[in-house]
Amino acid sequence: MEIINIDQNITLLINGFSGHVLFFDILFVIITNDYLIPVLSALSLFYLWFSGINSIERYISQKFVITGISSIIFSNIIVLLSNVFWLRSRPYETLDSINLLFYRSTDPSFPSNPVVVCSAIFFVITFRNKIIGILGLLMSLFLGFSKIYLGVSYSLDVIGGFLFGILSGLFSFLFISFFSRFIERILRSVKIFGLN
Amino acid sequence: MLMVVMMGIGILQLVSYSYRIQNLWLTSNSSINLYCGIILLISGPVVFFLLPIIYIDEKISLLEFFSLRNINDIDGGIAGFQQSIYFCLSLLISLLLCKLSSFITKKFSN
Repeated sequence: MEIINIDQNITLLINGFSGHVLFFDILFVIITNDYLIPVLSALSLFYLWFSGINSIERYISQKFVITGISSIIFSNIIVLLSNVFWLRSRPYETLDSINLLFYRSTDPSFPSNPVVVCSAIFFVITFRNKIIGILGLLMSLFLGFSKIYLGVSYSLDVIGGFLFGILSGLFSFLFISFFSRFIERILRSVKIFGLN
Repeated sequence: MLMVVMMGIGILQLVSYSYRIQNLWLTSNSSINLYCGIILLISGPVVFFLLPIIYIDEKISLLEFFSLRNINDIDGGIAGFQQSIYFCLSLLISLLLCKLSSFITKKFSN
C-alpha cells in the first residue's frame, strides 16, 4: 500500500506541471501519440534489417530483427498475463485532481503498453547497435514520462512497463536461441524474395 | 500509412547511404539520397500531425489541433493488430518504390 501511495504522489507531482506551459503540453501530446514512437521503434528494426557491410553482417542484423519481432509478441503476452492479475484503474478514474490532456483509455493502466513494446524492441537493438538502442530506451522512458504528464498513466505503470519490456527482450533472445535453425530457414526464404 | 511510407523511404535512403546499398538508391547521387532521406524522415510525422488543417473549419486551440491525431481505438482509431498490418504494407510499398526508382535510375544512366 505504501508503494501505491508513493506512486500516486509522484504521478500527481508530474501531472501537476501540465496545463501551465502550452509548448510542453503540445510536445507531450505529440510524443504520447499512439503511432509516433511505436512507429519509430519498428522503423529502427527496418533500418537494422538492411544494415551490415557484407552479407554475413547483414545476416546477423536480420537475426536481431527477428528477435525484436518476437520480443513484440512476448511483450503482448506479458501484458495480457499481467492484466489477469491486476486490472489497475487509470489515474483520472481514481485521483480527483488529475489534469487529463489525452483521451480516456479503456484498457488497464498497468503496465503502460507502448512502453513495454518500445523498450522490448530497443533492448534487443542495443545488442546490435548501441547508439540506436540506448537512444530508443531513453525515448521509451520519455514516452512513459509524457503519459504521466498527460494523466494517462501512473509512474509505476511506466517503470513496470520498462522492466516488462526488458524481460520480453530477454525471453525473445532465449526463444531465438532455441529455434535458431528455424530462423535460418526464414532468413534464407526471405533472400529468395529479394527482401534482403 | 502516408507517414510510414515517407519515413520508410527515408530510413531506406539512410541505410543505403551508410552501407552503400545501390539497389535502394532514389537517385544516382548518394548525397542527394541522404538529404532526401533526412527530409522524408522528418516530414513524415510533420505531414501526419499537420494534415488535419485541410478539413478543420471550426476554430480550435493549438492543443486541441495537435490532439486531433490522438484517437481511441473504440472511437475510430486503429487497433494494434490492424496497425501492424498497415505498417508492414507501408514498408513494403516504400521498399518497392525505392527498388523501382533505383532500377529506373540505373536504366537511364546506362
